[in-house]
Parts: sequence; C-alpha cells; structure tokens
Amino acid sequence: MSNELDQVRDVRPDVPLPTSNARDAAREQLRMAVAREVNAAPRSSAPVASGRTRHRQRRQLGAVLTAATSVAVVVGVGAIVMLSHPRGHQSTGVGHAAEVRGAILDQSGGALAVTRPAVNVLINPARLPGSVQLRADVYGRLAHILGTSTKVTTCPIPGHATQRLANIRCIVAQSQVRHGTAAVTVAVGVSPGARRQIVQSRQLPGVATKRVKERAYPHGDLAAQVIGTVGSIPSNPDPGASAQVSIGQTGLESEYNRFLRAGDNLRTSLNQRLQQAGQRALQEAIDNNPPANGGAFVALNPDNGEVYAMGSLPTFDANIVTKPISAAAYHQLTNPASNFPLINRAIQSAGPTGSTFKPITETAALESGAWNVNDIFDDTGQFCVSGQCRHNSGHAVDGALNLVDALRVSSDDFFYNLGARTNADPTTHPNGGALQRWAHSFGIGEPTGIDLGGEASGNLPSPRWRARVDQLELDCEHGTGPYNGHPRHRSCGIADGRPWSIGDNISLAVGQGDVQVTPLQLAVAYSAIANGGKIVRPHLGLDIENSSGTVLQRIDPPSTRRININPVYLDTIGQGLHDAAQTPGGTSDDVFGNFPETVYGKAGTAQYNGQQDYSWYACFVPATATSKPIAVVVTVEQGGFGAVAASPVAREILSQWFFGNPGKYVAGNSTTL
Amino acid sequence: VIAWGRELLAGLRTIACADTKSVFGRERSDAAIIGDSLGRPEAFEAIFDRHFDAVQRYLARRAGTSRADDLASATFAVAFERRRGFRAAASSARPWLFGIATNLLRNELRTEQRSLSAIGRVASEAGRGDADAAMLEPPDLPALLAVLDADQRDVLLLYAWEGLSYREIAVALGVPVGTIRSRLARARVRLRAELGGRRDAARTDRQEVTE
Repeated sequence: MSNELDQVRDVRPDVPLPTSNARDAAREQLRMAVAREVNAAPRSSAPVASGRTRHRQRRQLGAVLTAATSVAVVVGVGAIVMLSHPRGHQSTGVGHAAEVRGAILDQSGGALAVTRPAVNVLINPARLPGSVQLRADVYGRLAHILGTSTKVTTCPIPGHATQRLANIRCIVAQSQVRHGTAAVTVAVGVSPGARRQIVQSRQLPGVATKRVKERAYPHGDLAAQVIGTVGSIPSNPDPGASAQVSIGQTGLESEYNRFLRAGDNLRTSLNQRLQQAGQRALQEAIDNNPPANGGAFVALNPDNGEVYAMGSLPTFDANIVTKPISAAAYHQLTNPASNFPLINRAIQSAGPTGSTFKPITETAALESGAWNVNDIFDDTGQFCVSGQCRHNSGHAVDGALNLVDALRVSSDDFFYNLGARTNADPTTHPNGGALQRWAHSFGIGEPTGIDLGGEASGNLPSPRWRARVDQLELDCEHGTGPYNGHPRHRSCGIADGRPWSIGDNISLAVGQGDVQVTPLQLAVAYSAIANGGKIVRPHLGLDIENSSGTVLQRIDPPSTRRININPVYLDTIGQGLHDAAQTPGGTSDDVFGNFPETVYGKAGTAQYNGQQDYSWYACFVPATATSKPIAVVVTVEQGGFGAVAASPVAREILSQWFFGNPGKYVAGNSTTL
Repeated sequence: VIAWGRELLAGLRTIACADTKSVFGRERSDAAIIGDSLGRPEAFEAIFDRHFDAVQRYLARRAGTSRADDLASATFAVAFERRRGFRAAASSARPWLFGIATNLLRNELRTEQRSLSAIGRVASEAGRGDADAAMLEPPDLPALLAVLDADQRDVLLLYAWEGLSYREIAVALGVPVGTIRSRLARARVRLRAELGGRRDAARTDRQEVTE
C-alpha cells in the first residue's frame, strides 16, 4: 500500500549532476575563503614561534597554495586568487564576522556599498498588552512617533484572508504568521529624536529600539543588480533563537561575502560615471522607443575582461531591499508588471542577437573554407534552399557583395548562404558543423565565468540539442522519462518535434531562432575579435583591501583560453565592422560616422514571436586605435531596430568613456536586422 | 642548503597530509580531515570533493539548478568558516553540510530571492529561460508540500528524498532526535489529511492571526 511517504518519494525531482562549471565556481569560492584565512597569518592555532620561524611557515603555506594554483591553471580550472604577501596586516580574526561589513568600491575608490550605524524599532508581540484596545493605543503612539500612517489599507497575509490593517499592525500580523511571537522589526534607520521618544516612553510596552549596522547604497539604483544585496541568516541552525549575521545574498555582495563580512573592502573595476551615463542613456532609449520596456548594457576592457560598467533596466533601489520590506514594495519588485527589476539582464537574460552574430558566422565560414576572403555573392533580394525562400529585411536587393560589403550593409541573404554552406549532416555531426564549432569557441552557450552568481549559459542550437528537446517534448506529452507519472498533454510547447534542418543553421547564421546569448557573452566574443583571439574572463573584482586601503589580495583571473583565427580573416571582419559603423552605407554610420574615435560596430535586430523586435548593438574601439580600449554591448527589449534603439546608447557610453560626457542622443534609422 | 632541504621536507609533508587516505590506505574520516583543516585550511577541499555533488543535488531538488549552484557554493564557504563548530563525534560531515544548506535555503526562500525563482519560472514560460529545468519540476509538488510548515518540510524532505536517518537529521538541524520524530509524524499527519481530501481537518489547525 502506498503511504504518504512513498508519495513524497515519488515526486522527488530527478536532478542531473552539477555541471563542472558550477563545481569549479564553488571550488574557487572555497579557495578564496581558504586563501583569505591563510593570508591572515599569524593564526591563533599555530604555536608561538619566533618571527623567523613564523615567516618560514608562511612561506611554506604560500608555496603549497601557489603549487595548487599552478596545477589548477594547468588543468584548466582557472583559480581566481593570486596571493600577494601582505606584511604586517593584522587580521580581525577570520571565521568571525567583523563588526562592520567591508565596503564595495568603484575603480577609483568611490563607495558603492557601505555600512553605517542605524537604529531600528522592534515589536515583541508577546509583550504587547493583552487587550485589543491597549494594543491599538501602542500602535497609535508608535505610528505618531515614527510618522507613519494609521490609515488602514489592504494587508495580504499568506494563507489567510486579506485583512485591512494599518501599516505597523500589518507588518506584525505578517510576521506572526511566519515566525510566531518572534520580535519583528517594524522600522529601520529611525531618527535620533524618535529613538529618544521611544526609549523614554513608559507607554510603549512591547516596543524596543536596537542599534544596528545598516547596509547602505549611496547611489541607490546605480548598478543595483551587480552590487547586489545583503540579507541575514541565523548563525545557529535553530531559527529565531540566535543573533543574526549579515551575509551577501546576490551580486558582488554575495560573490565576495567572505571578504566583506571579515571587514575588508572590495575594489571593483566599475567606473561610476560610465555606469551613470549608461543607465541614463538606456533609459532614454527605452522611453524613446515604445513599447520598449527593459534592456541591458555592458562595457569592458577587451584585453583583460575588466568590467567598466554593467547595467540592467528596469532597476531598483538596493536600499529598499536590505531592510524589512513592505508588502507593497515587495510586490512592486516581484510583480511581473514591473518587468523583473531584480534580474541582471546583462548576464541572466539570453536571447537571439540578430545580425550582431554575423562576425561569428564569418569566422566559421572563412576558417572552414566554406567561403574565401575575396569570394563574391550576388544578393538578389532572396535566398532559397529546399524550396523555401527568405528575404532581406524590407526586401532589399544588395547586388554583388564580398564579406566586407556584406557586414557593412548587413545583407541577410549573404549570411543565409554562409549558414547553408556551414551546415553539417546531423547524422554524422550531431554537434553541428563549423558554425557550432566556432560559436562554441567564442563562448556561445557557456557562462563566461564572471564573478557574479546566476549567470545564464544561453543556448547554441545543434542537431543534438534539437534531438534532446524533441525527446523532452515527447516525454512530456506521453508522461514518460522525466515526466513519468505525470498526466499526458497534447502539447508541452518545449519543441515542435521536427528534426534538425538546414533552416536551423541558416537562422543561427543571422542570430535568429533558437540561439540564446547574453549581452556579456556577446561582449566577450567581440572582445576576442578586438584583441586577436583571446577569450577573456570578465570580472568586476580588482582587489581586496583593508580599511586603510592596503591591498591584501589582487583578483586577476587568467583568460580562459585563446582561439586561433587567421589574422587575415580578423582583418577582413574588422574592416566589415568598421565600415558598418563609420563609412557611408554602413548600417550605423548615421550614429557613429562623425564619432572622433575608430569604432568597429554592428547593429542587430532579434525577432520574437508575439513581441516587438529586440534591439542590439555590439562594438569596440581596440587597443590598436586607442590607449583606452573598450568593448560595449547594448540591448533594448522590444526596442525595434538595432541601429535605432541600441546604438545611441552605445554611442553615449563611448562618448562618456573617451570625452567625459555622454554627448547627444543620436539615433540611426537603418531598418536592417 | 640544509635549511632549504628542511623547508622542502616540511612542504612535502604538508602535501602528503593533504591526501585523504591515511598511511594505512584507509579513507580518512571527515572528522579527521576537518580536524586537519584547523591547522591547514587548504585540507578542507577534500570535504568539498566528497560532498559537493550531494549537497548541490539536494539544493537543486528544492530550489532548482540555477539557485542550487550558488547555494551549494555558499554552503561550503559557510562550512569552512564554521568548521570549528563541527562535532568530531559525527564521522560524516554530510548531515552537518545538509544542515547548513537547509538554513541557507530557508533564508533564500524567506527573502527577496523568492522573487528570483518566480522570475525564472515566468521567464521560462515566456520561452526565454531554461525551459527544460522548469518543466522538469513536477507540477503538483509545491501544492503537496505547501501545507507543511518549514520545520516539517525540512525534516520530511531530508528523510524521504535524501535518505538521512533521524539521528542525522537531528545533527543537520541542531535539534534533539525526539523533535525530529515528532516533526516527521506531524508532517505525515498533515500530508495524509491533504492527500485523503480531508482538507477541512487540515485547515482548522492552521494558526490564527492574533490581530
């Protein structure tokens, strides 16, 4: 007989083994914690030794760790920690949270996240007066002191009928459902005057004040998803019984929590002004292109992966999230109508990239011999294969084109042709042909390894991928495989069941269809074109410093790998990208033509079923053209054509970077994909 | 040269100790490795090697793969920092690690992170997220488990999904074995009521809001 335990066992999800990527990232985290402790010598558990012996011990530990690090690099794990040898650094004691959480700083030491003292107000429900009337009096007096509203409003309580309660009573009621009679914080960061009134009042039984350290983000919504937020975990497994310690929850706060909680500061590569310019320009692009409703940008050093700016809109004020949050604010942050401000679209939102994908296709075609540098294609306005024809956007007829021309005018027919020529027989090449091989080597379909959690892998379509989703669809429809025991469905919408076709490859060649790429992945791919084939590992952390600014550790992740692209091919691709951005007839020449730096850039327009097109722009100014190389990728969700919505944002970012001001908002009008 | 040789020997000894096998070729216990790691922090990586997959999969079953990666990573970082509190009497570190993972998970669900998983679901419904992962989750699971309070749910899933014994769950959650027994019993009663359709009975014992 099946009892309830068996039924619970039956619904145990069948999860795969963790990916090697996840394992490596976790191992890296652990190694950083280990390195932090080793670096904080002398250790308390070590026997008292003479200065000389202690020095030697430290060197031994350093040797062992360096050996481990080298091994890790050799086997491709890529350890992130480079140990410097901090002398004379007195640790506050590792393994224990410091009293003040370390700050997160921008490139030049400006504060992005700080900890400051504050006073919170708590209510202990068990100590409130017994009678409803007396309790109401306490709430009323407290609301008066705090200046909060006593008007009753809708108060949703999980698992109960919605009630109508005033603000403070609502917070207490919501807490009681979850945490019983545990004390509940009803106000944070109250003024010294309010604190004094509460402390001195004899008419507020059950109300207390508490001095705390408050996490604050001086710039509110600036890079909010990147910087992240902190929350609390019980330091003892028995919840509610013990003191709370602050722990990073998302973003850099989470990634570098070990160091921050020990009181050390994290200096990042973020450039505050660039970040501001990017967010402002992206917001402008969204406002100018209805129904655009979100977007992302990333700007990084194409030679070493240092991220100068990374933004995602809509965004949120991180100061709201670190405090006990009102139901309304929580709803605002999580309501689908708000379009998910907590998500970092630059690394978590993957989708087709439109024509910004074309340089990857070009590399694959050239390197595989499917196309030669000087070959000419006659673009008649349509491209047909197996009886199916596709057209350029707006049925443009571009005539005789070589590779450089094809990028400049963004001829889809030209690249449909390359997609057809690089398609491989799915029975003999289940992982696809040259296009998949090269896209993969550019990093498409895999996380970049940036020092932020939750990065999306995206998707690189191949015959094997299609077979897998088709099988999943069948299993879902029939209640078999992973769906064993589930009801049958007529359709699950996972895949349409057809096998891999040449059409799939043609779509991939122009960045449409099932390919999914994050803005950061595209930035890494363009960086490789800019730097001659190095796949950089993007990163935000520069170093760990103590409170007086002494560097304790440098964070200098190695490039993940180098790909070999014939320099002649790179030149050809570069020429095409430059012509697209800065010669007459180029699709974004009306945006960048008069820009005083040498820009290599490509617009893209990604098509979605049932939504307005997504606008993309990817560009760089390489080290051969400037002493301040930079790569920038921008996407505007439902922004329409790439040259129209995304490219003006990229221009303002470049302008801020090179000239210290964002300049004008210059929109293009190319209607290519 | 002598000093150099001594240093080399000491280095070699340090590396030899990092081996998870004892000199007799037997597997060293987790407790022994954690003991070592107090003096040599880098030894702790052996604990990671032994248990990371199990911890990550436990978290994946409860929070989905993408969140599980972060949480599993955090679990080992927290475990490393708290390793002084590991009780040597428990030879395996797994229950202890599951306990830390469970706490992190709870915190995750309690805070704004809940919205992220909601985002994941919505995003994949829109065809832009990881559709596979979202579809794999059996649809009736949340409903079935939602009737339990968090304490009961933790015990039930550690027992039924992860196969931990009462004693191991007690270690994981830091409460007496008797409490584990009673929590599991209450969880089963609640579930039986839900599954048997006696929803009214279950509803009446739901805690009333005092206001």
